[in-house]
This record gives sequence, C-alpha cells and structure tokens, in this order.
Amino acid sequence: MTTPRIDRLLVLAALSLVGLGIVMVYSATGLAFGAERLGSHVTSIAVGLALAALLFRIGPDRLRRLVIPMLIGVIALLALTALTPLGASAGGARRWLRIGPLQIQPAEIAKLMLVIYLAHILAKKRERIRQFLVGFLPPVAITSIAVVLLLRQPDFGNAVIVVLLLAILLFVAGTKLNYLFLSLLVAAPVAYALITQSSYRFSRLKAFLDPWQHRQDDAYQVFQSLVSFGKGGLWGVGVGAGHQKLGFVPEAHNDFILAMVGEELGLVGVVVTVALFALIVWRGLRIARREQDPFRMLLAVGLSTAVGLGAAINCGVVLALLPTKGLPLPLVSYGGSAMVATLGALGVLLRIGADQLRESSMPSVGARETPSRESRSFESVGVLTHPSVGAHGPLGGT
Amino acid sequence: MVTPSAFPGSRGMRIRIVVVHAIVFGGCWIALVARATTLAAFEPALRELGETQSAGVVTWDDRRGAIRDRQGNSLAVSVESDSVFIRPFDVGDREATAGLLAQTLGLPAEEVLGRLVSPRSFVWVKRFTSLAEGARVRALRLRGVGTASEARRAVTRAGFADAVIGSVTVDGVGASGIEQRFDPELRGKRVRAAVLRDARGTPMASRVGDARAPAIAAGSDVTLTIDGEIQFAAEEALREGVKAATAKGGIAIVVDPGSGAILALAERSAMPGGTRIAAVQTPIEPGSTLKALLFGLALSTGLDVRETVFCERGEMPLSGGVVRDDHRFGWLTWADVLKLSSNIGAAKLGRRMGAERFVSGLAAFGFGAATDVDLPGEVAGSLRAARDWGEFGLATASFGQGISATPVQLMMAFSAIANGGELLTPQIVARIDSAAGERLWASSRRVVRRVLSADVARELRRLLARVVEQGGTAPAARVRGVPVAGKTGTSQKPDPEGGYSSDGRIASFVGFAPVVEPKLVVGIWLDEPQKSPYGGVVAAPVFAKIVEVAARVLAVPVVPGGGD
Repeated sequence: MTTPRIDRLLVLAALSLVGLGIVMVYSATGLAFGAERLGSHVTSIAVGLALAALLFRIGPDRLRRLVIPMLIGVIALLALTALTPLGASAGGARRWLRIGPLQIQPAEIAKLMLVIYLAHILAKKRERIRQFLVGFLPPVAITSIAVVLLLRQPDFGNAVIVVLLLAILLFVAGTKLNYLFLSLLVAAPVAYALITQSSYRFSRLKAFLDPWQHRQDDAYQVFQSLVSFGKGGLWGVGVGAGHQKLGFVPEAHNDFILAMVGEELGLVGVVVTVALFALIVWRGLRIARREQDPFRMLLAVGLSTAVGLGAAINCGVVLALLPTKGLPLPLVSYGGSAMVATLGALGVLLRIGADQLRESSMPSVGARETPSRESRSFESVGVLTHPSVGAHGPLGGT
Repeated sequence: MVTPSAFPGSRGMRIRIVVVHAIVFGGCWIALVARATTLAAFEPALRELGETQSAGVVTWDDRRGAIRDRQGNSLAVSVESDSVFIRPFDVGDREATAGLLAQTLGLPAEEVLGRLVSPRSFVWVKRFTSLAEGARVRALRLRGVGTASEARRAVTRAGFADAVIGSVTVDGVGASGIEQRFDPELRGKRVRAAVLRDARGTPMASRVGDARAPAIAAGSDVTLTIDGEIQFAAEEALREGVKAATAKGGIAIVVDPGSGAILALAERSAMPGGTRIAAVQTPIEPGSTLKALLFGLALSTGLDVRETVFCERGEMPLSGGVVRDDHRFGWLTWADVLKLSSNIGAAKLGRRMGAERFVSGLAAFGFGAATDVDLPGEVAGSLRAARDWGEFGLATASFGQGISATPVQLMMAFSAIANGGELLTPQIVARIDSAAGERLWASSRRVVRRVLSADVARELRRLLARVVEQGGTAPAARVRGVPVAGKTGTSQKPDPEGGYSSDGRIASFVGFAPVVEPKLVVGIWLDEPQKSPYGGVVAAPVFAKIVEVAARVLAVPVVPGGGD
C-alpha cells in the first residue's frame, strides 16, 4: 500500500492562512497581552492539527457510521448551551459551553456534524431526492432544529451558514428547485422578523447600510474596519506597524482580523488571503467533482463550502458588504473551537482527496477501496474483492 | 479528467457543483476583491482619518534642575517616581485586582476597591510612589492597571535650609524660596512629542518614556552660596538655642563679609511670617544691635570714645517719654556705653549727631532699601524721615526702636563693619549651570557703597570686641581660640493692635569672627524667649556654637589664648 497522497495545494493554502493568522493575532494582541493570546492561539492550532490527523486516519466512512449518535450529541450540546446555565455568555450571547477550564463553541462542531449528516442522508435518499417527504423534508427538519437552537443562543451568523449549507447541498444533490424557491419564500419573512424584532440585529443592519452615518455608535467597529483598509492602501503599513488595533478596531484579533491584514499588509495581503480561500474552495470542490461516491462527493462539497462560506461571509462583514454577524475568519482568526473544527474538516476533506489519488495511481481496480456501503451497489466499474477490507482500505493495510 | 460517471446522476451533481462554485463563490471572491480595491485605492477620506486618529501630541516639562549647596551637594532634586492608575472599565476581576494592588501598595483594600468601581475611565490610585513599587505593580500584570512616570520634588534632608530652598506645587511649579525665585531657570523646558495614541486618546506610555530619555531640555541647576556644614551647624545650634531659651522660634544667619555670600540661613517656625523666609520678609526692630551702627556713624564724625558721658542714673525724661537703662549708670566713656549697651548714652550720642545725619547714615548702611537679595518677597523695612522723629523719637531710634530692618539687612550692615566699610549686596546663589554643564551665571562681589572708612571700621570692631569681654553684655559669645565681637539686642515686637507688645520680645546677637580680618558674620534672633529677653544670655551662646564650627570649616587660624 502506498502512503496516502494528499492534495498539496490545499494543504499549502490552509497552512499559509494559519501562518498568516499566527502573525496577525500576535500583531493585534502582542501590545496588550504579550505572548498570552498567541500561546492559546497556537495551542488551538496544535489541537486542530491533531484532530485533522485523527479524522484523516478515521476517514469519512467510519464517521458516517457514527453520524446519527454524533448528530444527537451535538444537538444536545447546542441545547445545553442555549437553554441551560452551562452556556457561558459573552456580549449578550450564550455561545460557549464551559467544561472545566475549557470553553467550546458547540456551533462549530455542529456545523461539521450537520455537513456529515446532510451528505449522509442526501446520498442515502439520492434516488428519491426529488420526493418532498423523503428527500427534502428530513434534512430540512433536522437542520431546522439546529437553526432554532442556534438562533436561541443567539448565533445568527452560524444559523445563516447552516441554512446556506443546507441549500447548497440540497441543490447539488438534485432537490427540485421549486422546493428551494418555496423555502426561500417561507424563510424570507422569518428572517425579516428575526432581524427587525431584535434590536441589536436591526441596529447592525442600519449600521451596515450607512457606516459613515453611524460611525460613532452602531457602525463604529465596521467603520474603523473600513478605515483600516483605506489606511493600508496597496502594500499596507507593515506587519506590526498598524495602529487600528489600539482600540480603534475592537476584536482586531478575532472577527475583524482581516482589517488588520488590510492595514498592515494592504490590498495585496487582502487579495492573497481571499485567493487562498478561493484555492481551498477550488481544491475542495475539485475533490468533490472527482469523487465517485455520492456521500463522499456531497461531504466534500459540504466541507469546502463550509470553510468557503465562513471566509466569504466574514470578509463580507469586515468589508461592510454584509451586516455584522459575529463569525471568525476560518483558519486565521483567534478562536479555539472554530480553528479546531475547521482544521478537522480539512482533515476529512484531504482524506477524501487522498483516497482518490490512491485510486488513480493504483494499477489494479481490484485493489480499489470501496468508499461506502451505499456506493457499492452503484459501482459501474471494478470488481470488489472483500467488502470488509475495502471499508478499512487505507487504514487497515491489505 | 479521468472520472467516469460513478453513479447515476453523478454527472448532474458535478455540473451543479460547478454551478455553485462559479456563481456562489465566483461571485463572492469578485465582490470581495472589488470592494477591498475600492476601499484601499479610492477612499482618501478613510486613509486620512486612519492616519490622523492615532496621532497625538503630548507635552510635558522636562526634569527640574537641582538646588545644591556650594560644595555641590544636592539639597532639592527631582526624583523619577511612578504613579499608579486604574482604568476601571478594563479591569477584569475587581476584587482580586483591588486585593493585589492594595497589598502591593500598602493601601486599604476597600479604598482601592472604591476607586475601582468609579464610573470614570481613569483614576489615580497612588501618586509619586517609588520606582521599585511601580515595578512591582507592573510585574502583577493586572488588566486595567498601569503606571505613569512622574517627577517628584524631593529635599535630600528634611528641614534643612527649607526656608531658603522653598517648595514646589504638585504640578512642579516653584511656590516659595529659591524654587519660586528661580523657577524659570530651574524648570525644565516644555517638550512636545508626537506620540501614538489609542482609541481613547491615551498616549502610548512607552513612546513617552522613550522621548523622555535624553535630558537635553532639563532645567538648570542652581548652586547656592549656602555651605552645607555651616548650615548644618546653624540648624543644630538654633534648634538647641530655641529649646534652651524656650523660644517660639528663631533665625540664624551666617554671611561671608568679604563677598556678601550667605553661608547659612536657618529658620525655625513661629517667627513672624510663619513658613515664609522671615530673614528677608519680616522687618524686625534691631534694638540695641543698632548701637553698633550708631557708633560707626559717630566715629566717622570724629567721636573720641575715651570721652565720658553722664548716663542719668538709669532714667532720662524727654518730651514724649522717658528713656531708661537696666542699670543706673553714672559717668561712662563712650566705649563703655557700647560695651554696656546704655540706652541713655546711645540717646545722647544720637542727639549729638542729629537726626539728619543719623537717618542718612542708616540709609547708607542699607536701611529702608531692599538688599536685592535673590530671594522672593523681600521687604525694605522702615526708616522714617528725620523731621518726623522729634526728640524722643531720635532718642529711641538711637537704640534701635521705631525703625525696622530685616535680619538680612542688619547682617549686611554688620558685614560692612567686618569687611572694612563696604556695604555689599547679599548673595544667595553662587552660580547657575545648564543641564548640559554650561555656566549660565555666576555671582560676583557687588559693592553698594562705602559706609565707613577702613580705620573707623577697624576701631569699631575693636570696640565691639569689648562687648564679649567679662563685664560686657555678651561674654557668652566667646569662642575658645577665636576672638569674636558683636552686639546684643533686645527688641519689643510691635503689637498687632498698635504700640508694643508687653512680653513679645526678640533677643538677638549679631557679631563677627575673628576680630581682625573677620571671615564670618553671624546673626541670631530668638522669638519670644521665655528664659530671658537678653540677647547676651540666650542668643550669644548660639552665636558661639556656630562660630566654633564655621571657623573650623573656613579654616580661620586659631589664636592661642585668643578669645576665651
């Protein structure tokens, strides 16, 4: 058995972003906290890399087998966070679960689990995907539970991401477009009500619509974020030389870290950052397109899209193209749970790609790994030797 | 692409992936890059705001110069100190922060907690604490707690020449004494520095610290004529003298008669004028010490001190009052009138001289005019015009009543006797040096006028030496090995309600040493001594103690068998 071959471009892009994050987190926090914040950031990265390695070894198929219990577990975590005193609040939202010295954000794990679940259920019901009750309703119902719990925290940003993930996966899986449009018609008034009836969301929206007008109050953070980009210009003022982190951009190391990139590394730094995320999405969707197993294909789409949407929405917020959400920039922002979950997701994605590379490099189709139970019956080529071996393929070492 | 259709419908899914990729993500990336480009390249207002909002200017006065004695020892210096502040909004755990701070700073925890819950964004916890304590506070690394470097004015020895040195306000402005008089020289130049400031407008402390390092704008050093050792002797002797005489306070002044330099100026509280420099700010009636000047003026007009005068057995009625002596003197030589301090003899000498000549003579000695000493708030004393005196007024003025002079004025008059007849401007500042070491100013001997001829001065010194002989009024002023001379005085303090206070007296002794070529003039004033109102009894011993030390410091040759 050859060693697994991983997508080097994907790894390069991800590690470049992680490296950028280490530099920018230190730049943003070093003055006030010394190496304290940097230390916990690097710790999160280490934990995330370990999880990525672990999930890479476990592989998507064994994760799939555990998807229902894990989904129930993560929904329970969301419920604990949103509905019980175990949820730790910060800035008016209960998004964290305090377990001893650890604080985790269940929403980040939930996104990953939901993607695995949706890939699983949509692949399973693939033939009957166009039937409303079989192919549409169950995934929508499960996702809705998660969305309601997320809104309860409230975590509007992750709720939006989860809904978008659902929509994209349904679309790719081949749901009737009518259902999607119908859902949009139902969701739009709900979203409108959620925004207008929550004072902070509404003020964020107003701030977003006219940041100059609200630059001293509601739009302060966003406005100062825009100032950062203006000040950075083409090449930026240099790493560490920015002043916007001196309280002008609150949470400069966190959700608004792209503003630090914009000030210190300039437009060039911002474009490179966006390009690195585009690279991740491209390589991830490339893996999906090459996939011959529907679960793995949908999983690859979901994982790439989760990272890509997170990045696009965060950048959109920081650049004031979208109202403020409270979402970190994946792989770059300071923030333990998101970093760990994103690296874990990339571990799974890399494994899907690695299995494909092995396939195309293997001389014999007979030794090909069988990706999953469902796909086996639809295999159009290849003769399976031993299903049990296939399931353990890259790990067991036949 | 070697990916054949793996399962039914996979082709459609691949197409939809491409659609999602192109439309959703393609749209996102293009929008983000376009937006970032617009902001970075086409929003000059944002750039301008970004550049100005973090730029701040701080101004501060650089280090204040030191005040030194003439040996160069520091008397008052600016000490770097740390002031501890809190930004209550940034503090995390209030109780823990207050507890740690209170422990480190030695303050009650409740007090610190009280400031912590303040609704203000910036509160001082402790100002002007030591650098070591500041470092300990920084080592705690508490959120919302910081230290700022502030200069604190410190005197090297508490109560040492404090009246001369004076004081500065919390803001570092001279408020009294040399600190006030030379504030423009001492004060550091105002320094402006461009600094970085955070969103609250607070300058970043580190930058301020960096800018402060070069001391180019520091204030100049003022070196006094004060001699540390003589000053110390004067402080000690005065303290003991005040205690021994049970006085309310006192003044001791030492002047170098050759240059006019004030070598020591010690004051103890409760002299009229309180904490001010009574030596220049309080006019005192000179009392019998004035007889020395009267005799100087009389000698200049050819008085033969061997002639005798009848002293009226202690009582001389005049129009306007009765002049009295403590002893019922009969016939005395003029020399003995001075030695025994007869008021009636002095009155007769004054009458013989005439008010005009007496007043103009006193004016020549510097009465009625400020000495121009470099201390704040100097007054000129009072010397009435001769025509206003009348018979009794002239008589009492002859023994130092009804006219007033500051102790420093009287010291300069005695210095003229000691130095051969020249009235000098008193010097308190020897030199001023810039922080860079450049000599900005140096004192020089300034002669106001010649008051006495050298011969008259010499003869007067000889006469004043008889005062400390046995039988004179101040044998207690004698010093072993150093011949001394001087004149006692007892003056009644003016009553605030008019006239004279019945028991408020000032006992004084002003003299010099050695008798031949004097090197120092020493004056002692004791305020309301309970033990005795006589200068010869309470002030003369203080004089002797100071002369003993000062003569050694100034290397005055010891005369074997001289003095006592």
